[in-house]
Amino acid sequence: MFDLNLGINLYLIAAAILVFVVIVAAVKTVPQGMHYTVERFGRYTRTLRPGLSILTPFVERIGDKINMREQVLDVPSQEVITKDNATVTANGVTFFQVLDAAKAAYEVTDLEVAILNLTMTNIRSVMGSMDLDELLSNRDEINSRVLRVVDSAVDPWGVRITRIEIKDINPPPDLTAAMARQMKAEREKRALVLEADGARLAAIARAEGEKQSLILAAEGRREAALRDAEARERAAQAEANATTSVSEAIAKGSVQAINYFVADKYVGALRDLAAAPNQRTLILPVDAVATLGSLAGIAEIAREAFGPHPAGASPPTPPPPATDPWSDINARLSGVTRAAETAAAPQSAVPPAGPAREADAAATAAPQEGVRTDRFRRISEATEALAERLARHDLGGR
Amino acid sequence: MLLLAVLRDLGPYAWFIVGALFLIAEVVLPGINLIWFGAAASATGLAALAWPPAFGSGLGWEGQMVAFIGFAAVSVIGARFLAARRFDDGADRVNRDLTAYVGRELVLAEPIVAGHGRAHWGDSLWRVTGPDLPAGERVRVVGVDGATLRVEPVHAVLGEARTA
Repeated sequence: MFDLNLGINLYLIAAAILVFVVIVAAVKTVPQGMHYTVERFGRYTRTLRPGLSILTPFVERIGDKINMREQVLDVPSQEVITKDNATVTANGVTFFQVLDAAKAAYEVTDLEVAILNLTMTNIRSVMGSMDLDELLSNRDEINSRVLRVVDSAVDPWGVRITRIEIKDINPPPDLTAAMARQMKAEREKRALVLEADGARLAAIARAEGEKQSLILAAEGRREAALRDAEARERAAQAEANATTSVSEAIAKGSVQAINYFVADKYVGALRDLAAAPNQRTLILPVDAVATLGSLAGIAEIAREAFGPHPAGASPPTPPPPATDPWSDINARLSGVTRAAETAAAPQSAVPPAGPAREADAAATAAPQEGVRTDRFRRISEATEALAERLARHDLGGR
Repeated sequence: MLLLAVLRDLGPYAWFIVGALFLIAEVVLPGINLIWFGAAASATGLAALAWPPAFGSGLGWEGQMVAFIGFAAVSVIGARFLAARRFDDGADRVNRDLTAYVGRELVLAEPIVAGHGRAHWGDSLWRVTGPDLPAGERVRVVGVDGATLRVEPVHAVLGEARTA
């Protein structure tokens, strides 16, 4: 009996422990985000969803605990040879989610390693089919192509690849430097072109402006010339009118009026010449002696004014009585004129005969030495008088 | 033997102490469900206290052990029953499989050829199976096959609905 009692007691203790262990093993709480697969004698039967579940003791047990959340896998850097034989280093990241826990548990061993390798090989093949330039500019294309292939490949595993992103594509340093140089050269080219363009436009604008200004200046000159010509025409017309008026006046009056004006102007001009501040010495040209002859006009005026002879009479008239002061002047001026005429003429020319008074009348008279010397004396006297006058004017002008 | 000695010395209250320890362990230790044993120990203690003396010299330790085992089994089964009825109401909307997506309309990104194609959804592509359709067609998810959505053209679904 004692032995039986002890046996029962031990059995009760063992039973309590058994129940404890069975309950711990059979009652499963699956946390949210996980699915557990259940195997009955090693064979998959069902999947436990999050929450409280009870397995059949001794028959069923948990197979795999599968994470159903979206997971991130870092795709490590790997060397990829592009289509144009450049070696680049590329890495990336893969997002995947298990949608069928049983397939993920039993269709593939080590799901993450499988996905990683699949991704790496596909990145390699996709990038290997592209040129380096394409590679660097077409990441979206690479991503979508890799995603397509890998997503199809993981279909039997109950997994969905949400996305695959290439993180870095690193060409070798020397290639990077070359690319940087290329980019810089490209920018510099653009800058140079822009600068040249700007200079061209500026030069064109400047030339355009100069052209415009020259055209305007020429137009101004043309206009001015036209007006000048007009003014000259107008002046000439006025001159003509004036001349006509003078002519008419002369025609009505006496021609000696003209002589008076000419002589007046002439003397005035001589005075101005002598009075010129930069002209100390006045050298009368040889011709001036001849021009003095025009003073004869004055004589004629006087003669006409005081004498009885009509104007225009070429033969010299006898001098008026000596009492008339004008007659002397007249005579002397005439003498000077004649003397000048004689001096201008060749020596062999017929010398005037007689005194100056008769010289006009006796142009053809035989030459006489005395008369000759007398004439020269008179000429020198007249010249001296003229020089005195000029000197006075000169001093006065100062 | 120590446990038995303690139990014998403390009488029914030993069960309450054991139950409290189980409950503490339940909270502290993750992954192991000990609440059943806590509940069973407490229930056993109550039973031992309430055992009518008329039925002899109280509940022996053997009887108490049997009661504990029985209470543990009953508590687990009862909890499972309650959980199935009250808590597992299908309200969890995360980590469900794709059956939650049945009924949605998608646009085919690639034509369905020989039963396989792809559709746009949420900035990514989903594998779909269904009758051959050109790209750009609107389709409705009618079922799920692993990570693949079974689809039908929307107009066909509408047609069926009309005839039905």
